[in-house]
Amino acid sequence: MTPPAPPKSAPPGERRQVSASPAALGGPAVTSIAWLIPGAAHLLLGQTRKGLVFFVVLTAMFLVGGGLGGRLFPFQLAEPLVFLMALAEWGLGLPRLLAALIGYGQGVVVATTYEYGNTFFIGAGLLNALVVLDAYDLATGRKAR
Amino acid sequence: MTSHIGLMVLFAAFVSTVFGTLLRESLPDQVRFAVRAFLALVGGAYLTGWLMYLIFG
Repeated sequence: MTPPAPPKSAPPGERRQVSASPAALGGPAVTSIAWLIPGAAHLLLGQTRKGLVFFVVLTAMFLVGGGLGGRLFPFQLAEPLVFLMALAEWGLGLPRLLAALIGYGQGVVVATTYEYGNTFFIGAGLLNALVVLDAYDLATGRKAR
Repeated sequence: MTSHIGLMVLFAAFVSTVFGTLLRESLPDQVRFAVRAFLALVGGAYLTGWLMYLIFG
């Protein structure tokens, strides 16, 4: 009986990617993480550059939205467009949650840039929804890593 | 910044960066795609602005 072969080490010059396996991080867990913190799921799945880009860009968009006087809308079923805007803004989980807690993004309706601020908030949320879907595809193996 | 075109360019830069990163795998492809998306967004908005000016202005 032969002893099991020792694990092969990576050849010199080859970088080894350390990442969580799709089996270890299931689709729902990855989706939740990706929704909460933009780019975090990609970081966990070993896609460092993508994760960092998503985190920096989407967080910056969210902050710029607030800086321009945009408003984080509440869910109002009576106003369908406001409801949809609120839904889009909740595409960015933790930043939106923190903003709600500290009162960020109250909106300055009289500001020249009010609508631009809303656009940045909504754009950030919708882009993160795409990032969440990409992370889900990566975690479930529907997209090659 | 309150410049309309400045904010539009900033928004286009953010969006095209995310799209480039999301839809392409290698860095050169990502940069190429992001630049093309950025130019399409800014150019499209500029053309649409002129069209609106010529039609409704």
